This record gives sequence, C-alpha cells and structure tokens, in this order.
Amino acid sequence: MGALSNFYQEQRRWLNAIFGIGVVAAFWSFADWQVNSELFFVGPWRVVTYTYGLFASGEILDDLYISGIEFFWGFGVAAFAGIAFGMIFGISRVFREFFDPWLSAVYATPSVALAPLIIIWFGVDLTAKIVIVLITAVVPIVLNTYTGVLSVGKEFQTLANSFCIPQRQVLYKILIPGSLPYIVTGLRLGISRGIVGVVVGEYFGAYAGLGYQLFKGLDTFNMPLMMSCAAMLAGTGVVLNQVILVIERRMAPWRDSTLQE
Amino acid sequence: MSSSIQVEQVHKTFMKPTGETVHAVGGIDMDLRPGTFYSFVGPSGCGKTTMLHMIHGLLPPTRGRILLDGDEVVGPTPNKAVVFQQALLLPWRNVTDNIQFGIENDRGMSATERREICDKYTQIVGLRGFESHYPHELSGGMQQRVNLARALAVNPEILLMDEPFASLDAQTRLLMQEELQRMVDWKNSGKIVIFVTHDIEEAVFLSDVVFCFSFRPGTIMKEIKVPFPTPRTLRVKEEPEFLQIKHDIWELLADEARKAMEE
Ligand SMILES: Nc1ncnc2c1ncn2[C@@H]1O[C@H](COP(=O)(O)OP(=O)(O)OP(=O)(O)O)[C@@H](O)[C@H]1O
Ligand SMILES: [Mg+2]
Repeated sequence: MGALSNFYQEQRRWLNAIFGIGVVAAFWSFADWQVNSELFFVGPWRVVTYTYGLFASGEILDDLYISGIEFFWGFGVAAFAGIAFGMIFGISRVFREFFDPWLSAVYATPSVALAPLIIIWFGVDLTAKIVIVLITAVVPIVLNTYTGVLSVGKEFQTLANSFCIPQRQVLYKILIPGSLPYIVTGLRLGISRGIVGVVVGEYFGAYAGLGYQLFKGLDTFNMPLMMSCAAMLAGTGVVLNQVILVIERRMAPWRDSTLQE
Repeated sequence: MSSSIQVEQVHKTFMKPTGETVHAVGGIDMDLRPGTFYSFVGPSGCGKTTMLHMIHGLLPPTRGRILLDGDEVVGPTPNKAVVFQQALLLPWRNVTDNIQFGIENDRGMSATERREICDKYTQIVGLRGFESHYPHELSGGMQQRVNLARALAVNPEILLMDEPFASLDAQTRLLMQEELQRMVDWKNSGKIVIFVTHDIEEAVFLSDVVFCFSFRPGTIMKEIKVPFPTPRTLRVKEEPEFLQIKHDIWELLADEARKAMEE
C-alpha cells in the first residue's frame, strides 16, 4: 500500500495525464461506436492506425515537410523579430506610443482576414505561407517581450546605474534575463498561433501541407484523413510547447522551484 | 588617493504623479573628510536614503550642490558604491555572480583576480558554501550579506551603506559591526564611509561622527563626534562615556520620532 502510494506521488504528473487521456479516449471510442459511420466520425484507435498508414506509405511526408518549412521560417523569423522589436518597444517610450495602435490592430485582426490579401501579394507559393505564419505568430511575441521589459523593476535600472554598468550592457545583463519568463510565454503563444497560421495559409490555395490535406479530406469526405491531420497539428503544438519549457528550465535555473509547482 | 565631499545647502523635493510634493531633505550642509566613518540616524522617512542617493549621484538635488573633490556630483562613479536598503540582488545570478556585478567591467582586473576578490568577500560575509545558490534560495539576512559583499568587492573610496545590517540576526549583527572595521579599514585607506542606521548604539559604536537628522524635511540637528580610538571592540559599548553619547542622541531623536509616528 505504502509503496504504491509512494509510486503514485512520485509519478503523479504522468499518471494523471495518462489517466486523463484514457478517460477521454474511452468517451471518444464510445461516441464512435454510437455514431458508427466513418463519414462523420472515427475513434481514437482508427486515428492512430490511419496516421501510421500515412507515414508507412510515405504519402504524408511531403506535406509534413512543406508545413514544417512554412512553420520553421515563419516562426523562426517571428521569434527573432518579435523579441528584438519587443525589446525596442519596452525600452523606447516614443516607439511604443507611436506603434502601439498598429500592434493592437494586427493583434485583433484574425489571421483568416489577412491571409487572402497576403496570398494575392505573395502568390500561392511558400513565401506567402511563411509571411502568414510570421504575422500571426509575431504579435504575441512582441507584446509579451515588451510587457516583460516593462515588468523589470526600475530598481534594477538604478542598481545597474549605481554600479556604472553601461546602457548597452543593461540590455543583456538586466532586461533580457528579467523579461525571460514573459518572452517564453510569448513564444508559446506564438507557436499556437503559428500553427493556426499554417492551416489558414494552406486553406487559401496550396499544393501540399498538413492543412492542405485536412481540407482535401473535407472535399473528399475522408474523415480519417481530416482527424489524423488535426491530431498531428495538435501533437506538434504540444511537443513544441514542451520543448520551449525544457529550454526555459535549462536557461533559467533560478526559476526552477517556481516552475515545478 | 583620498577624496572629500562637500554638501552645500542641499534640498530635495519629490513630485508625486498626483502632483503632491514631498519635501524630503530641507537644507543640509556636510563636510566629509577622508578616513572618516559617518552615520546618519533619524526618524523613518526623514530623508536619509534620499541624501545617500544624492551623494552617489543617483538623484539630483532640487537645490544646493554636492561636491566631490571640488567637482559637482552628476552621477554615479566607480569610486563610490552603495549597499542598498533592499538587497536588490539579480534573481538570475547566483551568489558569486551577484557579488561580481560591480567589478566585471573593470578592465584592469584579470579573471583570476576577480575570482579571488569574490572568494574573499564571500568568505568575509560568511557565505562560503552558498556560492552557487540563487537569491530565492537564501534567507533575508543572507541576501543582505550578498548586497554588502557586492559593494565591498568594488573597494570604493566612498562606501555608502543604507541599513546594511537591518535584516541580520542580533549575533551576526554584532560580529559584522566588529568585522566591518577590519574589512573597510577607512583610517588607513583614507576612505569615507556613510552608514545609515536606526540603531543608535550601532551608529555610535562604528562612527567617528554621527549626524542626527530631524523629521522631514530632513536637516542635521546635531553632529556628534565619537572620541574613542578605532578599531573598537564591543566592550566599548559598556563605557560610561559611550552610554552618555548614546543617551544624548536618544533624547534628541525621541521627539522627532514622535513627530514621525503622529504623521
Ligand atoms: N521617489 C520618490 N517619490 C516620492 N517620494 C519619495 C520618493 N523617495 C522618497 N520619497 C519620500 O521622501 C521621504 C524620505 O524618504 P527616504 O527614503 O529618504 O527616508 P529614510 O530616512 O531613508 O527612511 P527610512 O529610515 O524609513 O528608510 C519620505 O517621505 C518618502 O516618502
Ligand atoms: Mg531609508
């Protein structure tokens, strides 16, 4: 008894997560059994085997590659530009006041509304999708980075000033480490929004990609394909979020004890 | 090299965002000589921290001026260092790296020298074994000692200390009072030390001169010279003359403290 409850305490996070997945999978299977039509619904096991089939036959690899490229470049540029601009926003009040309305406007505009314009400007090829991912992902990164910079207490500026630390060094000795938690939040939001961007971009004309396959499934009444693509998109989001969290734990050991809560 | 500081008719008025003004410092004159330990005592909110920050150049005076070797102080310089009232440690740096904060830009210093200095002050403030701990893993008193070591590591000519021992336990505090004299050795090195404290006994024990501040706007009510030779041992605190000085300051400040309480 004691050993078992100890085991549960130690592995609690995983056990609970697995249990949660199991419960949902059970309901999902039950619903599938009730609906009993692959045209409308497929169960979790079918999604797994179908996805496996897509990989085994190799037919999905191209799409994964294309979507991957779109996301990689779009999000990569968004991360760099977002953090850089966020820093400038945080440091320069004039800059902030000048561009804040635009930032809010882009943030409030759904990517679906911008995508058609971008497709027209950049064509149906990769560039357009990269731009769509970039634009959707960059805003939360900018916003969070600059909130982070503002959250770094003025007293730390005073401290740096008092020890004659040059302004240039204040950036990487105070502002960047101080706003790291916010930057991480921004990146995580950026990932989710970037994945949405991939799907939206591929909706408005594409020749390959996970989103493209999803909409192809819609056109061809291929429910397993649609659900499999949706599952892969969701899985990517989960994995990338975990990657960011692991990186943060590595880079920010001083936050360890708070993170574990 | 030793410096002197002149504070001439300095006032400081703060303007709050609401438009309200606070007259924190109300016309202070001081003539600070090298090789001397000064204390500021006075009721809470009377402008001690403000005065200290103005001497460092972190805040400009509203009126009057502060001269360091004849030149007006316009900002912090590397020959001054502050022990802040709040520890103000960088949460993302461990003990060693926090202590190193003030000396890592010193180009005349090699990495090994820097390391040695850090080790030395880590040892002095009793944090051996905690080098790689982060601030959130330290007690309040330990954080305050890192704050102290960070300023001492700079080996400044002018050391400005804002209640550095306030969060230490009583025993450590007494030990640090003795230790500080050895560490800073202001007589021989010609340094100026300014030490803000609420503990009158501590002020008298450490200082050559105690400045007694009035309630806000802070002015110097009295400048008291403490005649005992330095370095002193804790036994000095039992001498009749010591007790007399302590008592006099107490009397002087009691009324001001009452005014502060009634605010
Ligand atoms: N940045 C500021 N803006 C507005 N008012 C301020 C500011 N800094 C200090 N004050 C006010 O100036 C007065 C003096 O403050 P100061 O911190 O110098 O007091 P102190 O003597 O150090 O007090 P304590 O012993 O409690 O630390 C206080 O009334 C405080 O409210
Ligand atoms: Mg103070």
